[in-house]
Amino acid sequence: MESFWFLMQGLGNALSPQNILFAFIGSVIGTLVGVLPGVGPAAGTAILIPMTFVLPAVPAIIMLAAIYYGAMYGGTITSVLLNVPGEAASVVTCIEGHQMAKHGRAGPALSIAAIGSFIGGTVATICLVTLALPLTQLALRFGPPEFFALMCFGLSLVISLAGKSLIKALLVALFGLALSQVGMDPTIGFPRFTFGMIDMVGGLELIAIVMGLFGVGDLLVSLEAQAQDVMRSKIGRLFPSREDWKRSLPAICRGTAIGTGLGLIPGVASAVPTFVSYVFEKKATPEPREGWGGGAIEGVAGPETANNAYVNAALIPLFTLGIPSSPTVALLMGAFMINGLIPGPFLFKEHPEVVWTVIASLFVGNVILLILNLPLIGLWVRVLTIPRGILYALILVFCIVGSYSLNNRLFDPVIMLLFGVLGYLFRKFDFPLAPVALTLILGPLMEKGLAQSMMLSRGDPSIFVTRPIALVLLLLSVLVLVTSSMKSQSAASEAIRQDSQA
Amino acid sequence: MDKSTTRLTRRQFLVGTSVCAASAAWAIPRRAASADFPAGRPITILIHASAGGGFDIGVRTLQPYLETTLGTRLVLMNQPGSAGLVMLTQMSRVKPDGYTVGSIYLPGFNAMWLDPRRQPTFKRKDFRFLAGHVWDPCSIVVKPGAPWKTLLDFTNEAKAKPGSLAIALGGIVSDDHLFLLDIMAKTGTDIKIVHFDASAPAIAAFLGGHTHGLAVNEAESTPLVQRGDARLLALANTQRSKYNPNVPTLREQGLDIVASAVRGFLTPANVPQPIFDFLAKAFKDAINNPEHVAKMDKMGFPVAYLGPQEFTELVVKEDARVTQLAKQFKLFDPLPQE
Repeated sequence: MESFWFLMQGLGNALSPQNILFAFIGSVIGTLVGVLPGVGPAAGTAILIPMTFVLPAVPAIIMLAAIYYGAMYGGTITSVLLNVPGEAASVVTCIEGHQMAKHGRAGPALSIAAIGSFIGGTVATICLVTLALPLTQLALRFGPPEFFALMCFGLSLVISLAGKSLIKALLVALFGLALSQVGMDPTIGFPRFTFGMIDMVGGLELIAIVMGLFGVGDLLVSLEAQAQDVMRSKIGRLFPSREDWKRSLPAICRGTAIGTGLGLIPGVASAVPTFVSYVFEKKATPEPREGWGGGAIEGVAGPETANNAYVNAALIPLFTLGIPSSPTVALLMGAFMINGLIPGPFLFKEHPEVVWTVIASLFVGNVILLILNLPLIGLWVRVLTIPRGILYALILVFCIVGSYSLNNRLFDPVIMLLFGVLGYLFRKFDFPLAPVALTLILGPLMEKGLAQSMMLSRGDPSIFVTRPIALVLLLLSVLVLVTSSMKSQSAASEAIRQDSQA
Repeated sequence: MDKSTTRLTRRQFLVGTSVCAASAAWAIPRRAASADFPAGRPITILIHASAGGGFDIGVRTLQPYLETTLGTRLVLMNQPGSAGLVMLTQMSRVKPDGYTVGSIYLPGFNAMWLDPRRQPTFKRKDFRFLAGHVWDPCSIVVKPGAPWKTLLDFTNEAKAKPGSLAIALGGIVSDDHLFLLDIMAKTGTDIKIVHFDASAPAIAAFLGGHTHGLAVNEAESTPLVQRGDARLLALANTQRSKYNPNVPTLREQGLDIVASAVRGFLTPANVPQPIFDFLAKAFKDAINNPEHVAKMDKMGFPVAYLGPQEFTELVVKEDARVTQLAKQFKLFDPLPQE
């Protein structure tokens, strides 16, 4: 009850004109950061860190937090309209979202994403207010073995991302896994697969790769398909229909749960909950009319909700333990520290006015983002009416500038373009792209979990079966693997039978 | 407002700086340097860590004071990647005109030129060490209810049951890693080291009870201790800390180990002496500014200025320590620097 009163007080502070202004500025910048490919939330926040020297603590932190979750709203826009994922967390949205845009349903895709984001973000913040401490204690039980098992579970989902051919999906998954090995070994610090190039020592930039594979690859395919009008300038309705609502609501609920749960665990990358949510939708809902990969709204609503629930939940360990669970949260922690506030449970006692104002501002910011994003959808979808020649040139410029800005070096745009060509070939030969992104993201996390578990147990693999959470997760992944491969096996033999009959 | 434009601006600055510097050097090759240095042109500081982290915050806190003493604007560029290897390689290639200064931390950076696996294209002699900024001692913490009261309790149990105790730490060949190896070497114990890629996940693993102890710097362990989540076993400084006056140093506990993360700045080796002296004085005055010291103190970063000579001596000393530990624990085959 006490925290409720503190929250109300915080809400009062958060609603002061100054704080609303900074939440608004943060939301606008966050949306922009999300829209601009390559400028991820971490980079966007980092660039504004110096402002925290000039501003008082509370508005500064409110603004930076708003950038962080605002970017998750904005990231949807380019994914849906242009098939260019602005950051890792919006890769999944490309799969169904861009298909929706191609069928003139960009409006409903963007609206449902904004509404889902709002719900996910708000529910995760409510968790922060009410259940922060017990939830964190639970999340801390995820040590290296549990983390490894969780990543195994994530990898087992790759089969569900397969298109027509399981073999092709597994091939590209392995390809992604191999790519993720480039760079410094996490346990002994040895550079791997760098070919003596200093630029490769830090590994390949995930964003550059997915921008190339999805964005540029799609662009090349579209260019080729001159005759067919791939990106038709039809806009259609802007807001979801009654049926869209009915289909999206369960997806939003599931996305909220998945995003909040995974956000609590330090070290889970922001893209993980989106993939989990997407695959979960594929399992939980009957095949939609459009078919999976054909623009199913559940595939937008779930992941987009999950990533906003994730970012708001990721703040929980920061407030309860002072542990930043992602690079962007680490930046936020920096903003606290610059102002002489050390995040952690003491902050609630020593500076309750700061903590509760910031938490209340999360609610305010989510409302601002919703108000900001819904009316803009009409404007955004008009991007699709830009003549193709200009639009494609713009996309290419965005991708090049975005990938350059990752590290201020030419190496990343080159990688991005190389993967653009590869993305084109993948599409030509009907290889699915999503498994590459999934293994690229999960690979390093899984490797770290494995290496750390082995250090803990001195190389004894029984550590994975003697710890209950790890064991359950591993069994679950086996179950997923077995059931889905059986399903695809029967589907394949069915196809062969039909082929031979025909 | 967005990053790409800001970054571009920074880049333009960098390009601009080097172009200006190049043309200046072309036009007036033998002019007394310090008289027109920095001549109002911005000085770039390359930061080896990502923006917003502990290192970055330290440099950014120093920035306004440094701008005053240098009499010019600073451009801070973050060049994270490979624990600083990317930035240090860049530093070994920039024009030695004093317009580019790099951040550094010991002993992590000693491994950069010592470790052959990183294929360094530079040696220690390619740099000059400008100033020490922060001196953050290494520490070991355990859970408050843990049976060990001193570090010796801990190492004795590790000795009795080799490989039974695990300690989490962030980073390979980091100050914490070398600190722990030092302890293991000097006490003849076998402790399981679990590497994380940063302090934060290591702290999370420790708090979750997945390891028995945690090796982090005092700035990171003090908040844990203050809120009752951890107890300090030892601090590896030469004297007791003002933040934790009740914790004995390792020397007091009978182990001659002094280990810290020391942050500072370097320049390329061939910076003209007058310019180097100018920079050294400006850094000294900025770092010793009481207002700056107080601000850093509030964040838990103990400021300890080291002049070029002391800092260089420390670098050489740490090189010897890293070389010895690397050989003893077969981490890598250290490259000779002399």
